[in-house]
Amino acid sequence: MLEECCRQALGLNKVTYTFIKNSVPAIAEELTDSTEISQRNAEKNKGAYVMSSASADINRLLVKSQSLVEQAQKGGRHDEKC
Amino acid sequence: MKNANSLLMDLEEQMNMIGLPLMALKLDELYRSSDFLTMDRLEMVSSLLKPEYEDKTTKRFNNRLRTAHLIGTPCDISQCRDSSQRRYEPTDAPKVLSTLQFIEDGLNVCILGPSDSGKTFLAKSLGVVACEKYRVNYCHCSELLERLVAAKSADYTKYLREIKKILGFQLLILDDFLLNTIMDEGEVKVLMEILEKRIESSKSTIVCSQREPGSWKAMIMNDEVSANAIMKRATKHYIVVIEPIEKP
Repeated sequence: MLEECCRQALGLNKVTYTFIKNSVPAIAEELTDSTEISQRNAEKNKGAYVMSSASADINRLLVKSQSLVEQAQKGGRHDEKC
Repeated sequence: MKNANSLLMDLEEQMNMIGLPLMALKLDELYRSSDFLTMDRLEMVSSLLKPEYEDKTTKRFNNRLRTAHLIGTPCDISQCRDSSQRRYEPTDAPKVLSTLQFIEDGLNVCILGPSDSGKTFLAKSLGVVACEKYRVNYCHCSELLERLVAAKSADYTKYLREIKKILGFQLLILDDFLLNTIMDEGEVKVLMEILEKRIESSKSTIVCSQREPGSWKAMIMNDEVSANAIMKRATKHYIVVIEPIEKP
């Protein structure tokens, strides 16, 4: 990665500490292998307690939102039970 | 004993000296009006105070708009209703949200819809109305996360100050939520910290996203645990879906 930073600095004729330092995050992002990260996260997901896909269902979320709207229209305040 | 004119001038000078010039002008105007002597006392006090009060509240509103990055935003919440161009689900959600009770209750809002459906318009409209009473901030999610992650690695004290500032806003609007894939674990951590701490301190957050919550996992590189946690917090209360109506 540093090699790429230096190569770009040379190419743009901006061989300064500041330019190379500032280009590190951008180059890191370009070179990051997304597949590797996905696989790493898939490993992390093993054994984890995750919510079912139903919990993210948009219709279910809308029903909850609709009941909040109706409650607010009736003048009730949101009462969150712990 | 001073005469009335002399006393009037003294009063006006004192008002100007303590930073109440509009009150001084009003006093002068009232004194010269024909019903000055017969005016009800409370009414007179009210008339004197009104211009200063309006000036100060206007200035405070404009300062809040500036801090919120909403100055000059031509958004009007009354335009956020079902029309020939778009439909809101739930239908009355914009009207209910415009009362700002959700900020009082510390509830979150998740606005979903395709590009150019009006998500940002609704969010900014709510932000503008909220600036009359609350401290608000509007920002693009990815820009905020990148800035905070950079601050965290460069200067942790500065990062803590930035986080404290973000947690201090009574309403935070995160636009373009998960528009791009987050590949930096640091950004995921920061996003979680913001959402979690804001909920803990009963501060409202509005997120605007083009993606349904079910697909957020893919935008965080399939980190299902983090995606669950983020989704749970962002969609905890109100969801508003905006559907554009295509012209035949």
